[in-house]
Amino acid sequence: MSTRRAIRLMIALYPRRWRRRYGSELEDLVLEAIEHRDSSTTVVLLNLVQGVANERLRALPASAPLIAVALAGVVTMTDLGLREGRSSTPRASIASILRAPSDAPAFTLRPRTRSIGSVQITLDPLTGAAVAVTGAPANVVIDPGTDQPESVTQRSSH
Amino acid sequence: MSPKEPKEPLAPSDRGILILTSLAESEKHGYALMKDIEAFAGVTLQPATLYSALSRLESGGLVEPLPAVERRKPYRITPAGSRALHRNLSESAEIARVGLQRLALNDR
Repeated sequence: MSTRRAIRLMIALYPRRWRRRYGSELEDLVLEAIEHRDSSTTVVLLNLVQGVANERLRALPASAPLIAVALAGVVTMTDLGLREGRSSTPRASIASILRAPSDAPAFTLRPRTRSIGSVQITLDPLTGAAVAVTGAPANVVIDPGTDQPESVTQRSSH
Repeated sequence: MSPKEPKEPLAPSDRGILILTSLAESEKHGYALMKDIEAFAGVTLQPATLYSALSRLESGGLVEPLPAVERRKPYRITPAGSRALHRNLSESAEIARVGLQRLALNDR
C-alpha cells in the first residue's frame, strides 16, 4: 500500500464532520511534512491513529463510557509510542515560551484531562498515565499511577 | 493566598498555547505553524496533533480560518484568542516567578 493511500485510509476514519472540514488540509500537511522529511512515515501514521482516536472520543455520545475508556487507552498508548519515536528532545512548555534559562528543566505543570460525556479522566502530564477518573460507571476501574493498558479493567459483577 | 477562580471552559491546552503564540506574530497555514513552533519551542507538533488542537481552538472561537491561498488555508488569532493567550501566559509567568523564587531560597 502506498503512503498516500495509507494516509487517506487513516483520514477516512475520522468522524465525518471533522473530516469534511479538516481532512484535505490535514492530508496536505502530512504529505508536506513527509516530503520535507520533518517526520517519518511511521511517526505520521502513528500520530494519525492517535488523532482518529482523539476525534472519535470527542464525538462520542455521553452514553458510551466503555468505548470512551478504550479510546482513551489508544490515545495514551500512541502518545507514549510517539514519545519513544521523537527524534529531537522535547522542550515544549510555557517556560520555554517565557524564555526560561536554557539549563532549566522545562515541563508542563498542569495535568491533562479528557472528558467523555460524564467521565472525566485526568492524565499525568509527564507519563500520560491515568491518575484519576470521575463519573465512570461502577464496573469500570482505572488503577491510578500506572500507564499500562491492563490498568483499565472491568470489574466482574457479582 | 486566596483560592483561584475556576478556569473558564475554553482554557486552551498547552498545544493550543503554542499555536496561539505562533499566530500572535502573524497568520500562518499548517506547515508554517509547525516550523515556527519547532523554532521557538523546540517541539515538532505532528500534523494530526496540530489539526486536533487547531479544530478545538477554532470551535472555541480562539482562531479563525482565512481564505485558502494555493490550497493552503491560513489561520489567524481572534481577539478572544489574544485575551485567552494573554491570561494564560500571565498565569504561567506568575507560577514561574514563584517557582524560581522558591528554588533560589532553597539554594541559599
